[in-house]
Amino acid sequence: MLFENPPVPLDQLPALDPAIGQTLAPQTLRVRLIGNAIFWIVLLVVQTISWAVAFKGGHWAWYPLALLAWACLWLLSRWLTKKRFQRERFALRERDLTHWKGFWWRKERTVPFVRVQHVAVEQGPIQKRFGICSLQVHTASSEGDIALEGLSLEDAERVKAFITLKTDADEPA
Amino acid sequence: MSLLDRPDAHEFQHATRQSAAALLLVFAQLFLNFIKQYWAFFLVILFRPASNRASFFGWVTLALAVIVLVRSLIAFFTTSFRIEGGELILESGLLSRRKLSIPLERIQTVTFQQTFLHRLFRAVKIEIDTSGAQQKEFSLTALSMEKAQRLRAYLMAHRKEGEAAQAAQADSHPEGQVLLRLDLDDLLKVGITQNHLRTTGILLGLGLGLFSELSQTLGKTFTNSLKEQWGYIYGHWTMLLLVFTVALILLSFLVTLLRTVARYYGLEFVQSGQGFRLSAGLFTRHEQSISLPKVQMVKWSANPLQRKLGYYVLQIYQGGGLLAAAAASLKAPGCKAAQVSAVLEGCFPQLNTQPWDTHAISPYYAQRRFLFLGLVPGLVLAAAALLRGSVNPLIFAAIWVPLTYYWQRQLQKSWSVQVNPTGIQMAYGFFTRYYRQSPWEKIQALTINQSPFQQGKGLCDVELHTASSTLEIPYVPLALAYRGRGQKRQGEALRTFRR
Repeated sequence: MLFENPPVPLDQLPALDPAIGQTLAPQTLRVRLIGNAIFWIVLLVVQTISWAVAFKGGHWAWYPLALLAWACLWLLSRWLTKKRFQRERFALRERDLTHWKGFWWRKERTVPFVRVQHVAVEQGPIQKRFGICSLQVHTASSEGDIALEGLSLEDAERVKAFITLKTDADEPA
Repeated sequence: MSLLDRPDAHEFQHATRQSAAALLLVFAQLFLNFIKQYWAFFLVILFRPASNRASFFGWVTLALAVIVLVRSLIAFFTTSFRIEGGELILESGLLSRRKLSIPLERIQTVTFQQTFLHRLFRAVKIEIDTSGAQQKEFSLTALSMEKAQRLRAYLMAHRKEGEAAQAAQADSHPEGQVLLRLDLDDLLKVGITQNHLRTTGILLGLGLGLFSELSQTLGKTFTNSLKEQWGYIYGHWTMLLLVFTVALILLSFLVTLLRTVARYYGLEFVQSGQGFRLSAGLFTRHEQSISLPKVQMVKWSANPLQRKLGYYVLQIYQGGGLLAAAAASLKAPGCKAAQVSAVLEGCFPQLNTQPWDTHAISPYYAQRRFLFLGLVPGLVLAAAALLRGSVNPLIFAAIWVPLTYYWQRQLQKSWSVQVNPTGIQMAYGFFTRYYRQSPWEKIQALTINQSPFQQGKGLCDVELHTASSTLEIPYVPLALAYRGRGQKRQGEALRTFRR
């Protein structure tokens, strides 16, 4: 058979679509919504104190308007958190890991396993309560790391073992 | 050959102190640090009423000198290093002892640095960088030149026996081909073609910082007296502005020239089989080396004046190690095209033998930037003109809007992204032209960012992360970004990359 080396047109390159990716553990959304609520409640306290200080205890008749703005922003932020969670995915392939995130502004990062320096699994107290953890994949570039925040502990350990295995297998002899 | 078989092995076997000059250097360093931190406090003392100034100032200076001297003595007598069991060990500290051990085979670079004081005592500062992620950088304030050279030769010789043989670097080969040597004539040209605006910015910042610090320290009387003395010039502010601008430009020019001469005096840029070495400096002589396996990216740039004279500022970025960010890149100004080619050829020999596939960036880049930088400010200015009933903002807008359009369009046209199976090269810049080159095997990760607007147009911004910095390419078709990822996926180059 003759040796062939046909060119590959750009549009025929294998697609890497978020549809092939896997979502994070469902509890992650609850953890993120709790974090979101804590942020907005703290903001409400700060807002109320600032109002009292700035207007020297007066103008409370207008305060419901500020409260309404706060509530609308919180709802918007909750909706965005949900949308972001629904869109966040990751995919493991033979040679690389890809992570998609963002709803309006989208970010897609790919790290080949051969570039992985080390993989770490971390679990904070709230994550522990919900049985999830974060998987950090570090490369030699601090800006090129991937953080999957919200995997079940078993999944994280399996992904970590897979990446470590792949990293060792791809290691030059 | 084992460690002890070497004829010079015994020299560093026992704890060795730094050279006696280190005592003076540590003292000078600590003293200068004190002055830097508390200079405002000294000014206050100087501005105290004359009667009790002298005695108070004397006591404070004496106390300071004693404290600094004691600290220097402690630092000198408690710091020692030795080589034991295949490790370089540094011990320091009186109350809390610090011990730092570095396995010899992990040593990557040994850098010498000479300040004016070092030269007086024929001593050098030694910095040792390792490849590990946890190890701290090892540095000795002063060691006699001869001893330092013996130590470096010993470390390099031993390291080459170990696994890190391939990571051997330029400084283990003192000979090599001199790529560039700047004489005073070249140096002046390099100084004149530097970016003087940056110095202007630094001078302005320094001036404002100094003024606010002084007014805080000396209180209102200082600012009031200034206002009184300068009051009549305040009345003629256009004159003041003119004088100030001319003075600032002249000063910036002079400062840049002096800084360039001080930093790059006697510059020698050497290529050896395994890397590059650059040494330069009038007062403080720096010597920096970069080993080829660690080079992540090469960047070269030229502003219009430099282009006219055929000069480039070349920067070689290396990854890994833990030296400060500034030391992670080697900068050689005043390079000609031939020297840039020689460096590229030396760093990435495969990359420049293959044909490049050239791509432009989307014209939407210019349109979007024109919208935010040109049109929106233009509309704000027009609104201001209407509200204030003044024609001045309109005149400014009439200049600003077309200028921004022209500028952004030229910027977009200046972009070129070139890829081949081995790597990527990019060129951009309207005023100063920048060029960057990096092989795929040095790309650690690839990020594709898309704004809502870009999603609609099938465009994206691409970030290619190397171990030293990130290459950013704006507004390219998604298909091109995926191709970059595809190449990262397939290449055998990935497999052969050493980490």
